[in-house]
Amino acid sequence: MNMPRINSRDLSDHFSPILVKEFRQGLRSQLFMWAFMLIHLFMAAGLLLNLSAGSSVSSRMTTGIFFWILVSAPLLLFLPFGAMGSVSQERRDGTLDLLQLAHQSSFRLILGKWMANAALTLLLVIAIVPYMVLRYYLGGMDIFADLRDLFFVLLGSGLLTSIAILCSSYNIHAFRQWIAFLFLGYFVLMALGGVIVLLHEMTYRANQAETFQGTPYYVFFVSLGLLYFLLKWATVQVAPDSEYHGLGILWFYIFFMLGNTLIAWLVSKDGVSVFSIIISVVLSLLTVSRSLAESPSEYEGQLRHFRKKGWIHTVHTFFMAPGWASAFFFSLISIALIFLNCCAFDESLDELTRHPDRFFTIFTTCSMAVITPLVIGRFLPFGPQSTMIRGLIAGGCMSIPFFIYAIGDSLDESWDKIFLVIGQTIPVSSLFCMMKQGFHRSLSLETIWISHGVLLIVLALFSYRGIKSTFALRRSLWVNSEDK
Amino acid sequence: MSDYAIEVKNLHKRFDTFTAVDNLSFQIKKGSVVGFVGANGAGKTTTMRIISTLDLPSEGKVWVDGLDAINQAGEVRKRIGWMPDYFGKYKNLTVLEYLDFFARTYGFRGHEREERVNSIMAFIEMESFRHHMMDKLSKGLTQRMGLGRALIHDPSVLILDEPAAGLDPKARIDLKRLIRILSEEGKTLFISSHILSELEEMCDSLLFLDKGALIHHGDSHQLKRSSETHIHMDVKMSSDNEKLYAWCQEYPGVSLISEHSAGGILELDFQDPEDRTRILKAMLDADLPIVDYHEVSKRLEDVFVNMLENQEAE
Repeated sequence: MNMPRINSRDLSDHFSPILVKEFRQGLRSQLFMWAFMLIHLFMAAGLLLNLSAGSSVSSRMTTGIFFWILVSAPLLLFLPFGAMGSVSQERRDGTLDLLQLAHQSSFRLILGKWMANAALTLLLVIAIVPYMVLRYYLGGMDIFADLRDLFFVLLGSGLLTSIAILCSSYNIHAFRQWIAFLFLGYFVLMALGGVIVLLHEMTYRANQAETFQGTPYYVFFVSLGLLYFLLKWATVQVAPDSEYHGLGILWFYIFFMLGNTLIAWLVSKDGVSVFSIIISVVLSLLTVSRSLAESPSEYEGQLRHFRKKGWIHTVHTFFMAPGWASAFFFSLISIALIFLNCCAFDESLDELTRHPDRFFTIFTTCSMAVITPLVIGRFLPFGPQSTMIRGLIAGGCMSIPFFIYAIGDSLDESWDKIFLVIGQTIPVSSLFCMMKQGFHRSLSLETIWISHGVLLIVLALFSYRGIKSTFALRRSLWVNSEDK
Repeated sequence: MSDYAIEVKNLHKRFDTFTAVDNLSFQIKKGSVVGFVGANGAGKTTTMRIISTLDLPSEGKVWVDGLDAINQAGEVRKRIGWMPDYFGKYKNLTVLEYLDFFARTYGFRGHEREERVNSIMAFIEMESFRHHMMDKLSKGLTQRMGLGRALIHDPSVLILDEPAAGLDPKARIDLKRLIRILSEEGKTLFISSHILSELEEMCDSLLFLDKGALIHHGDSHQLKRSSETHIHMDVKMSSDNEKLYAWCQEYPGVSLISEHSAGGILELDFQDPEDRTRILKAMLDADLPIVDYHEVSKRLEDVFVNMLENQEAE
């Protein structure tokens, strides 16, 4: 057998083989060629608009907004769209197996695909640079603000690409992948607030009313964390039985949640703390949904990993190994971390305990947000392949509080603030509303408590047998594995 | 070091309630060419995937070159070349870029990668197609490229799942020739196929699988012998069959099972090759006008079908 020697000759030898291959394929794809042509067309149109605009500050700002909308279209739509079929195509053609045999770990595969897409995005950005320089000479632009906006657009593009890769890693029909992409994309981007911050900044600049108030460092940190989380999740989906990534993603989730709280607390004066709570809820939902996706029939293969590490006799395997038990365990951790985040937002636990209404609202909303979709997703009669349906149900379930708040608000005639509710992503809007004191009255609170209670009791009754059998299966595997 | 390239012991693979592989055990010697035969759904691909470290077994052990395929999967993958029953193509890549990509994944860099790709390209005789886009290649060429990909890291064991499926006769002959060269180079080849006549030509031994269980392991001659209780002889005569028919009625242990215009197929209730001579002599002594007399060899397909029927009856 030939053992290859490292004898670097060209630049591409220093990059991942997957990145090189994907970049080659991407450059030849029709989608990239169309995106490249469109971006030049849009830029030229943007410049013409700039030239025809009057010299007033407001008209220049308006053309600036148009310019950025035109830039965002190919970067936020075209390239993530290209990543939609990236993994599913490999799955269809059977090339995933070939890559796994060729020492390419699942994470390298996913990362390589993401990096190739990012490299193509950068190529498009380079095409924008001459137009930005022209805009600068035409006047009326802030070069630093433009660069910052470009950075956020790139960040958004990267995140959408990672969501697209995640969706394509599921072995489901292309249409369902699309639904999932739109759902998750909306969910993550809105929750992240990056786009909101960007739109907010552009709007306020145009009105000359306020300067940029966001916290880019926080958005950057959370984006990177989410990006890694989504790519790791996609890795879990494509990994063969012999690789196990489920544990890593759970540990990352815990550290990320703690880091999120810490940074949110450090930068709380800039007003991003509410985002940290939203991010916590989003990440909790994603983590718990992912745990739900692990079918009990896969336990045996996955427990092999724990056995190999010699952890099979330990109690923590029961909670850390994949499946319902760990999903439940992590949902409890999620609640604790969200609670910690809320405390950070409210500066102290004393402050929170002085308002028992808010305390109970946080508690019930967290229960609704995490435990209920977990129970519903696990025990509703869908096949093991219906992960996305479960995810959508979980998301839908989380949106129930929104409607309850909305009804409460309409009864209270506090519609003046409904814009804030709609502006945020639906599932987490309830938490957002909750943080705004005086936004809802006791009627909506009472409604939500009663409905949560009733729903949980009904679900508990329905899922009792399922929970019992799942735990029995888990216990038997755990016990039997000692003999193997 | 083990004498065996592949060892499988008490292998089981279950998918929920369905058992794809049921207590399978066999050994394949280094440097041999072994055919893997079974009906659709018999568990061939599942077994091959487990050996190739792509799937984990529910129970049992697999060793490749003496290495545990479950716990030393990384090492095993270096020794295995896997060619699945699908093409595994990439669109928007040329033949050269495809092989170059796989050479990179196996750690070849710079000149070494170039040399390796060129030598593989020469072996599969695709130098003139190096800049052709992959999706424009014919099935035969794509299959050859798949073989090239499986060979890029110079593995000692090659696992080929249905390599000749869907190929035209010319492409099949080309593929067979390449397999023969690889066998002469001392590589171990484990090949599954539905075209049993080709496996018979290429393989040193055959493994027959039914419903996930092994029903036979041996060479094709052994297999035919073990399945035969009678010898069939084709007899051609210069006159009509009446004399032959009458002679068969009288001679013990010989029956005419089918007739053609001048002659027919005789079934002899004997196993000894010398009996054929004795029967010929008896026919000549009876003044039968015989112009041709030869054994009708059983096709491997028939043997396989018989074996499955027997298995079913049991």
